[in-house]
Parts: sequence; C-alpha cells; structure tokens
Amino acid sequence: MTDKSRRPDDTPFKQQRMAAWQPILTPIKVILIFLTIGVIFVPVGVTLLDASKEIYEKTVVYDGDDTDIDGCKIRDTNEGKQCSVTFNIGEDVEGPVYVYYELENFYQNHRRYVKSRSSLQLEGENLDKNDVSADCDPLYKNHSLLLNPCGLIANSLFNDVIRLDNSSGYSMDEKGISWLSDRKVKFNNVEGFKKVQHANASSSCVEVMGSEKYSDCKVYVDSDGVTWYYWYPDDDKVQYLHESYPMVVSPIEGVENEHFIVWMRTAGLPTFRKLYGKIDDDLNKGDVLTFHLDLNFEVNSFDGSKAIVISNLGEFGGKNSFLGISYIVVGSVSLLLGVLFALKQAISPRQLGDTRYLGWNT
Amino acid sequence: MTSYYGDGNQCYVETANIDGETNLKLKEAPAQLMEIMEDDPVPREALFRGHLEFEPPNKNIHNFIGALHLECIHEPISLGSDNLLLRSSLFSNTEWGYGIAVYTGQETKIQMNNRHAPSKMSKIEGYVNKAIVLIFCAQMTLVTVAIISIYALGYDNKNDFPYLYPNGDDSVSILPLWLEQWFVFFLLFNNFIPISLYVTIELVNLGQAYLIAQDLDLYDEPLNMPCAVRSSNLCQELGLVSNVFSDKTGTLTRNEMRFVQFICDGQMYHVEPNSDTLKNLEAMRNPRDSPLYHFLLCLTTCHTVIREKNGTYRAESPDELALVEGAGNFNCGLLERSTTSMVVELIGMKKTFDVLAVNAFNSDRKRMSVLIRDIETGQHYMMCKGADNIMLPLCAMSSEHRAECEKSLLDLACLGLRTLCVARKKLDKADAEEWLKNYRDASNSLQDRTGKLARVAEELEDGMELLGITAIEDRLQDEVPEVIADLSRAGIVLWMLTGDKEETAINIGHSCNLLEANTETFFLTRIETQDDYHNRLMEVADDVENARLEKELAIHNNEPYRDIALVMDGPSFKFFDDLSRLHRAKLLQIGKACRSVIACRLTPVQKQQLVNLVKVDTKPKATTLSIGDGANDVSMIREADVGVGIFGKEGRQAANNADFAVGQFKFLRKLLLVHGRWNYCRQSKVFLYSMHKNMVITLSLFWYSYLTAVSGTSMYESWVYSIYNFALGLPIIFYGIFDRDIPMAFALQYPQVYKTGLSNVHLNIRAVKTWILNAVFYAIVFCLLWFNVAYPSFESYGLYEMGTTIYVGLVLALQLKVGFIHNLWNQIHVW
Repeated sequence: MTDKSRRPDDTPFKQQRMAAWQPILTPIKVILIFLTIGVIFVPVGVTLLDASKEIYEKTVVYDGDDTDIDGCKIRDTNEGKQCSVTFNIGEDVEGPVYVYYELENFYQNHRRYVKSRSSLQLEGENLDKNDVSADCDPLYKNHSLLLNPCGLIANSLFNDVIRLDNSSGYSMDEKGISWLSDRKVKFNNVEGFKKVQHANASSSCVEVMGSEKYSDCKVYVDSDGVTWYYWYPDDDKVQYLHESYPMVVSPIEGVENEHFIVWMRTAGLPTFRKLYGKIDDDLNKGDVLTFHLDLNFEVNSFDGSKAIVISNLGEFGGKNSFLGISYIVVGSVSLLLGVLFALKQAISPRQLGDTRYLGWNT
Repeated sequence: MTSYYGDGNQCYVETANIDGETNLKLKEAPAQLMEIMEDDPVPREALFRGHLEFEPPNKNIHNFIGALHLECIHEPISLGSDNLLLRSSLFSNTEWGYGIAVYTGQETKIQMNNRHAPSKMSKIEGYVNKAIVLIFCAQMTLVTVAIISIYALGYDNKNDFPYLYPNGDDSVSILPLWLEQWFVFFLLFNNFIPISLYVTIELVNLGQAYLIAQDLDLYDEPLNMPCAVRSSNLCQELGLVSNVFSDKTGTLTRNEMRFVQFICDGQMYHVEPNSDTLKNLEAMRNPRDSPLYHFLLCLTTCHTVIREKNGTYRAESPDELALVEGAGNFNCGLLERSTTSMVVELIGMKKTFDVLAVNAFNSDRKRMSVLIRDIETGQHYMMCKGADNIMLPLCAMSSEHRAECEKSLLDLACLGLRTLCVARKKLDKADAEEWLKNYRDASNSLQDRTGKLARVAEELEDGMELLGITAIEDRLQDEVPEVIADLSRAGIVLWMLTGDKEETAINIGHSCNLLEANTETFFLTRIETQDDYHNRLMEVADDVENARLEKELAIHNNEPYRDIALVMDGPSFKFFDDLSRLHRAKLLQIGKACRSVIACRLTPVQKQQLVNLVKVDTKPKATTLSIGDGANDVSMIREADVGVGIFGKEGRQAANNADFAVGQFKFLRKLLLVHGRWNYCRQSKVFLYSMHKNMVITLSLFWYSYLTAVSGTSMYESWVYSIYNFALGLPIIFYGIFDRDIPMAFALQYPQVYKTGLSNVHLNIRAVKTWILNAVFYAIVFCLLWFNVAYPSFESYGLYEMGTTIYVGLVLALQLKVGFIHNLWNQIHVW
C-alpha cells in the first residue's frame, strides 16, 4: 500500500460546486419573456408578410388537367408541337425577374429515382458498362448503346424549350442558373472529349483537331453561327446527352448544359420548380412577355402538369407568406399568454416555494 | 504452496493481499518433521523423498487437507491449512524455510478466488431494455404502416411512374415490392432504436462515477480512501434505494473493541490501569486461591494472539485482542509463544505452559479452547471462552447460579456490550492423554477433518466451571444515529442484519436511532419449532397490520403516531419456509410496514436470504442496498441490487465485492441522498431525451416518405444524418453528468426529497408517454407543417437542401430542449 494521498482535489469541478446559473421561472419573469417574444415577433412577422406581398409571382399552367391556356397539351414525348404562353404584367416589377418551370406530381425524390445516377460519370470519367450499371440501375443503356450520362434522372430531362419573344424588348439569360460548384466540379464532359472552333465546316477533321485519332469528328454550328469541330470517345458505342436530347443540349455543351445541371439537382417535393432563366431588367406595368415553347416533355402519363412561373426576389427571398404568418401567430400567442398570466398574477398571486403545497408526510 | 521450515518450525506471514487482514498469521511445519530433525538428523534431501497427497485445487482459502508420506517416516504426516502458505502472502520475522509447491498458476487458491463481482443491472438499464423492445415494435409498426400505405395510396402502380420504369416493368429484383420496401424502411427507420442510447448512458455513468469517486465529502481521511465506484452503471440506482440492509459490527459500530469490565465470582470489575483490584491481587499472599486468578489465567492463555518483537500483539479477532490487551491492566500478558508452549506473565509472575491442543474458533462452534499443562505442577487445564448462549449449557452450575449469570449477561447486553463467557476444566493426566490421542487421530484424518476436530473438541468442552463473564464495548461509528434518522426520513426502510445476540442488537438499535423510545416493536424470536414459527408469523403479521392502520389513521388526523419495528432472530428464521408463498408474503408485509427491522444471530446465508426475499418479492419492485464491512457480509452485498462495502478492520473482502466502497457508514447519506438522487434525475432525463431525439428524426423521415410516393428516400444527406447523434448526444451527456436539480445542502437538509426516486417520478409510464407525444409533436411541427403549409418555400429546393434546412431546425430546437431541461447552467454547458 502506498502512502500517496488519495485525497480528491478540492476543486469546484470535482466537488460539483461550479458556479452555475439556475434560472428560476418566476411568474414575473415568465410574463416578461412571453411579452418580449410577442413584442418582437409580431412586428417581424408583419414585416415579413409585407415583404412577401410585394413580391411579384405569376404562374401559368400550360399542360396537365387544369391548364390556364389551351393549345399546349401534348400526348407523346418529343411531339415537336409549338405554342406560346403570354404574361401580362399588371404592375411594375423590380428586376431581376426569374423564369421557372414547375412540374407537379413528378416524384424526383423517389428513392428509385434519386439513387439512379453516376456521379463519377458526370464528373467526366469514362466508365464502362460494369462501372455504371450498379449506380444507374435500372437505366444505363439504350439497347446496345451505353448511356452517358446514365440513370433515371439524366434520362428524364425536362426537354421543353422555352424562348422569350424578343418583341417585348427583354431578353432571358440562361447562363448562371446553376450552382457554381456544380458547373466547375461536378459536371464535366467525358474524358477525351475535344472541341475546336473553326472558321468553316469544310476542313478535314485531322487538319482541325491535329491528330489521326479524331478522323471521325463531327461538325456543329451553334446558334451564333460559330462552327465547331468536336469529337466524343467511343461515339459508336455510347449514346451521349446531346444525342438523347438534341433539341435541348448541343454537342459542344454536353453535360455542362446548365438546364441539365439544374435538372440533376433533384427536387425535394413532388411539386417543384426549377430555374430556367432570368431577365435582368425591371418590368413595367403593361408589359407583355410571350414565351415560345417547343413541347417535348410529356406529363399526361403520370397525371402531372407543367407551368411557367415568373417571380422576383424580395429582401427575404421568394414569395412566402408562411414565415410571416408563423411569426405573427407565435407572437400573438405569446402576447396572449403573457397577458393571461399577468392577469392571473394580479388577481390571485401564489407565493413561490410555498412549502404548504408539499405533502411528504402522507 | 505447502511449506515447512527448518528454523524454529514456525513462520509468520502477512496475508493482507489475500483477505485484507493486517494481522500476522502463524504457519508451521508439521511437528513430526521437527521431531525427526531433532531426534535423528537426516540429510535435508531425505525430507523431499516421498510423496504428497492433497485435495484438488479449490477456492477455500481457509482449508487445506493433505498428507505427506516420507520415506524416512513410517506414518503419514497430516497437513492442514496451518501448513499451507498461500500465494501472495508475505513472510515476516522469518529468515528461511523449505517448502513444496502444491498449487501453481491458475490453480492457486488466490487465483481460484479471483472472481469478478457479479454484473448487476440497474433498474434504468432494465427499463431501457424493455423500452428498446417497445421501440422496436413501434418501428415495425411504422414500417408496416408505410408498406400498407404504398398499396392503399396506389403507389405500387408502376404505370403511374413512367420515368421510374422507362422500359416498363423490368423488375430485376428477386423480391416482391413490399418485401423490398420493407427492408428499405427498416433501414430508413433504424435510428428509431437509439443505439447511441447505450453509449450515451455508459458515458454518463462514467462521468457520474468519476464525480462520486472525486467527492471530498466521501473521502475517509484516516484510511486515505476516497469512495471507490466499482459498478459505474449503478450510480443512478443509488437514487432508488428503498431498503437498506446493514451489518452491525464494523458498519454501524466501530469494531474497535475495548475490554471494559468483567464479572468474576458474582462481582463486577472494571478494567482500568492501576486499579485497586490489581493492588489487592498483588497484596495477596497466595493469589492462586482467588477465583480472579483463574479468570485472569484463562484470559492470558486461552487465545491465539501472538506477540511481535516490538511487544505489540497481533490477533485474528479484535475481541481476542481486546481481552488480552485488557488483561495487561492486571499485569497479565503473553511473553513468548511457540507451537508447543507459551510463556506468560501472570500478575507480575512468569509462568510457562505447554500448549497441547488448540480447538479453534469458528462461527458454528462460537467458542475456542486450549488444552495446556502447567510446567511446574504438571496439572492439565482446558481453558475455554465463547459466546454465552453456547457456553452456559456447557458449564456445570446450579440453576440459581445460571439464572444469576443470565441476568448479569442481560444487564451487560443492555449497556450495548458484547459478552463472552470464560470457563475452564481441570483434567487429570490420563484423561488428557486419552483425549489427545483422539485429537491427533482427528487432526490426521484426511476427510472431514474440521468436523471430526469439532466433535473431538465437543467431548472435552463439557461440564466446565464458569470463571467469569467479560464485557467488551463496541463504539458506534461517526454520525450513525443522524444518518439513520435521515435515511428513515427519506422513506428508506432499514434492516439491521447481525450475527450478534438479540439484546446487543436491540441495544445498538436504540443507540443508533433504529428504534426510538415510542417505537412499537414486534418480536419473531426464540421460536423452537416450525409450527410455532408459522403461527407466530401470522400473529405478528396481523398485529403489524393493525398497528399500521392505526399509524395511518394517526397521520391522517395529524396526531402523533408510533413507528413500527420488528425484531427477529436467526435460529427462529431457520424455520422460515423460503418456498412458501404465504411465509414470504407475510414477512414482506411486515417488513414493509416497519420503519426498521432488526435481525440478529443471522448466518451470512440468512442475511442473503432476507435480502433476496425483499429484492425478489416486493411489488412494486424494491431496490435493495446492502452495506457491510466483513467477509460475512459478502453474500448479502452480492445479492443486493446495490452493494456497498466498507473498508473494514475485518478485511477488504466486503469492499472488494461491493459496487461502491466507502470508508464509513456515514458516507451512505451523501451517496444516497445527494449523488443517488441527482444521478437518478439526470439519467432518467438522459434516457427520455435520447429516445425522444431519435424518435423525432425518424418520425420526420416517416412523414416525409409520404411526399416521396412512400419510396423511403431519406431527405438527410448521409453524413449530416450520421452526426445527428453526436451533435445532440454531447449536450445531453453533459446534462447527465453535471445537472443538479436541487442544491446539495437542500437535499441533505430535507431527506424527504429522496422520495422522487422511490416513487420513480421521472421514469414512469406517464413520463414516457408524455415524451413520446412530445416527439410526435416535434415531428409534426417540423414536417407536416413545413411540408404542407410552407410548401412554396421548398418548391425550388433540392432534396438535400431541404433536408439539411429541416435538419438544422431540428437540431437547434432539440438543443434548445436540452437547455430547457437543464436546471442550471455553468461554463461547460454554454459551449
């Protein structure tokens, strides 16, 4: 046995004597807390509600059961029908104004759907069948062709094309609608993909691309009239995104197309809206915005609907009265309770720590 | 190892490492070996030629039976525990010895005894386990509801989801949809069962145990011993204790024996230095005629005390030591001792005796005797001392004398003194030698040696002449009456279980507040037959029931009332039928109504039996705590829900087998009333909260699944999801270790608040229900409300953006909840 003292240290920590604050909820304190909460929350709620009310938001449902306009319904995928949707702006709207498409009853959050994607492939790795079949199950090939990108999400892309008629004098910017990190890191065209800008379309591939390897390259002329030479690896064995959705995705963009990137970020609810573009200017009362649509995306089979939404943002985000209302409700309830307790305290106060209420002798 | 020693035949060993007893023990080589060495010196090697028979390895450290067959001796030499040196004992005052190793490694007695204290499960743990089963059932229900919903809501129709089944129903899954979804949901909801709960509770236990061990108020300065927590999982059990079973000697009392007075020849003498008695004795010309002389002779010879080189005595029992030390006041004492002889001082004169035989003390015999021969006169004496109830029948005396003795014994016992009777018998040489032959036979036998020795001793210890009665004082431990009064006010029923006799026990009971002046005491003692016991038990049960009703009526009318107490004794308890439901129920009913129960003259097994009775049969379940200091309390300490050991004079067995070990009885007060209560309050909240938080997040996923076509998508990103238990576990662990609902001083001042734990305020069905409803409420607020009312805000959110937003809200709200259940805040909580 050692002679070392085993005496515990006399510190507040070990002796459980640490200075501590033990708040006792006396009636006065409780009343004050409730009143304070009420006094703060109600004005905050009113402010939020006001801010929400000032936000412009307009929705036009153009396909589905209850549409706002006629002539935009389609029965089959890629029907190629065209139609127009018109917004009459009834008030001055501060820009920028955002253009969304909204889908209803589309379960982008379904478990089977959410997990059917290959992040590595989207980042640009050239994966073979074995690598993607597990991740993308149940959809990784189209007959003999391997899909790149594979999976349910990528291959159910919303492929209606929305164009703003420029007669209104406004233009819709479709760049910068996705997350920066998605654009820079998470979505890259497949490794080996090469594109070269060239003056005309009559040169040979080898000459433009600089190697025998690219002898079977292809030529694409974009909407600005610029000519591109591009080459995808294993093009004969793989179906690429621009081949699946030629109307939406150009071959030189591939998976870096921002509409695609937005689509790939799956929505949390079965009714969701996704950003399509933004109008950077303020809108004036009386403006008419006409959107020309190429209708490719079919919603009838799943009993859904499609809509275009235009909206701007306030100081506290999008149009949402819920936050304001809940602040007002909580604030009001607090005020009410505060007042009730105050009345009770005023009419029949009870002494705190009254031992008469303790019955330990029974 | 068995050993025998060349030098002086004897050695002393310290066995503190084995049984914690600090006295020196005498070990010796068989006398026959010594004779050989003396009579006919043989080469040392010859001592090792032969073979040894001995019993197989066992746990019993006090017994050993073996026989040594040496080639140089014809007869086998018997070996006993006196010849056995146990592993881990230390030589003292001995320079060398020879020995033969008999048990090695795992077979040594100490290793065989090396048994871990049985693992005990606390009430809360039991509760948790039950709750887990319920939660599992709830989880299954949720899964089933989800599966049924798939079909009820028509989400099983694959044609409704063309984008999910682009190639039609090409199901590659070998499982039907419902079974596949069953597994999906089972995994999704697996957080419903709070696996982290066990970790949380365990960590909280460790923290609580640490704080108990560090408590300065539980530190015993003289022993240099803080409270030792051996079963950290029982920290909160201390807050639930309803019955305390306490040993008397060494626990309530100090076990510091003082030989204070004695009765000899019908006269009372006080033991004090330089008394008149001594002077009178010295003045006597022929003191041998005085009965006092014989009394003192017996005191100085009839013991197994040894004298160390520095003159202090070492003894196996404190009573014996007290007697020998007390005799020193009359100039009597032991000077030298060997195996066969002893030199004593008797009223200043030196005398030598041959010690022919020692009939050792054990708890069955309750007496010891020695057979000695006066070297000068050659006269044989048998000196004996022992418990009075055993000794009186063995003494030859008239019935008046006996009655007189019994009265004196009662008087002494009423003073709280322990009494022993001292007696002797003169033997003539022939009788002595004949008896010695039997004795040697018995001690050489291989089977049932103890029993045979006891029977032989019995032959001798009869028809003795009573010399006197000694009285030893056993003082109470510090603050015992106060602590007992507090525990009693806290609503704890106290049971004093002792091996001591009824009068002493009652006396101690009075002095330490177990019994008060006006306590109505019922007796279940001195019963001789089974039927008697049965009748008495029924009778007492009825009486107690009446007394209880009376008491309740008095309380109801705010009148003074009388507490109820029961006194029972071991020999009567023998007739208690452990298997009879009626007996068990009646005794319990009595015990429940009593403020305290005193049970005396119990054997260790009976102590355990009583604890078991209360532990198993009481409804609603009682939580039992046993506290004791000696080896005889080990069984009851192990039996009780919570065992508290006291680092005692009688050794460390009790402390080593206990869940908590403290230096003194008084520490029980803070251990129970403060730590126990705090820990109970903390741990129950920890349990409820941990269950609650997991329920909330799982229910949120459940609600959400209805927005995902009941497909079982998690809206929480897997990393975010997996740190949930960590993010919310940490604050509640701190709560579990540091929160104090009422200050220590208050808890000690008003022991009544201990009833929080007794009535299980924090962990009853109602509390659990409240918390479950609260969890459902949280989930509703966070999910139903958000998904349905706040729908627009999430429309443009991605799956995980939405999930993480809700998650952050949940975590913040639940953090706030920890804040609210805290009773106080200190620097650690505000991190």
